[in-house]
Amino acid sequence: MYGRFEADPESLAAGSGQMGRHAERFQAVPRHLEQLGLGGSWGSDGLMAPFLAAFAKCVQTGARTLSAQAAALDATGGGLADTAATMRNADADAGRVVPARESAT
Amino acid sequence: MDTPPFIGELAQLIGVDVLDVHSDNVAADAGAVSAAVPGLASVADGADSTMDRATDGYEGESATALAENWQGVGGGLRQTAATMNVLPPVVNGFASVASAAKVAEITQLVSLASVMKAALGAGAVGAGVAASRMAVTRAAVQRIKHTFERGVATRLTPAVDRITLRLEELGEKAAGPRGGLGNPALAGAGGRVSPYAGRLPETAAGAERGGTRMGMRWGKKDETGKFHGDLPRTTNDMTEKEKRRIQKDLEDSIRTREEEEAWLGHSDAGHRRRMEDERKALGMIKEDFNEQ
Repeated sequence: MYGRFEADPESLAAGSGQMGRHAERFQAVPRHLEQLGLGGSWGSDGLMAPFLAAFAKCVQTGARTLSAQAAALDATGGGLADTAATMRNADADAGRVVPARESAT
Repeated sequence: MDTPPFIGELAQLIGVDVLDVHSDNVAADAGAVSAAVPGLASVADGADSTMDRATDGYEGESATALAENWQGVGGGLRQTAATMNVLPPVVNGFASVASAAKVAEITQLVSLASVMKAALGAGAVGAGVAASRMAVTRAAVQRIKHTFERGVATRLTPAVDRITLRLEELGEKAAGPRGGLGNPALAGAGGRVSPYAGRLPETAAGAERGGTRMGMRWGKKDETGKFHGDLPRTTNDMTEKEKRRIQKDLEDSIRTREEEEAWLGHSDAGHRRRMEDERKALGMIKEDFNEQ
């Protein structure tokens, strides 16, 4: 029971490269946030400490989440490339098992 | 705002210290976070259209699985951007409260200073006045500190913690152990996160040919993370791709609206009605998927 199947390996492969670039741009944001050292120059009053700690944790968690999502973007891009390659290989393999092709060349 | 030196000395004299906070730096940090968000949203948009182009004309089991997975990945990006967007206003709120507390403390001390100047010229009576005024000022400054601390602890810190919690959830979703699920035949093994994971079996079947019509007959989710524009009243005449897009947009939009409401602690009638309408439209689309 197979449904319709159609694919264009070229556009999948092109999308893979683009997705990798999106992942890089996305990854740049948490890297930038971590470099800024947010919360480092608010002052030293003990009254602020709980909020400051909550803020620092929030930014850190945000950066971690963004990194994980950048990795997911990258994996999606990799998956597109793998899919394109698998389809091309499958097509080539299928081409080789057709006997008529062997005799024609 | 810096504490004037004579105020610092006066504060020391009566045994309190002025709140040591650089609210400008606090506000600058809030600005840095909000400056990062549009970049995230634009990457999410770019990734969405890349996916649309790459999978144009790609149909079948694996294509549907890929689209399902993309809903999760792409939706996650937007939700994180929307959640990060809630942090700067909270931090700015903290900056204003801290700055106000500091100003209030300094005001108390300035008024004490003027009393002291007059009192010190008035001999024994003046000394008595000065002593009692010092006690009053000390109590007032401590009351200001207490109010500040309580306000931050009961309203602002919990708001930040809620944002952290939501970000943690989103991070866990993004990093979920999905390898091996989905469609390993096409995705290729290798232990990486499969982009085909997370597919829903009931919707993975039967992707009808959608044609090239990707018209904007309905509204969409914009950079606020909320759905704006016309809501679909029927799913007839909608392609699979459109249905999936609108479903995803509506789900994200409803979540954003809920988050906003939770943060604001209330919502107006128009906002509630809109959310209700979006829920209805989403229900209709979901029902439609289930019938297939």
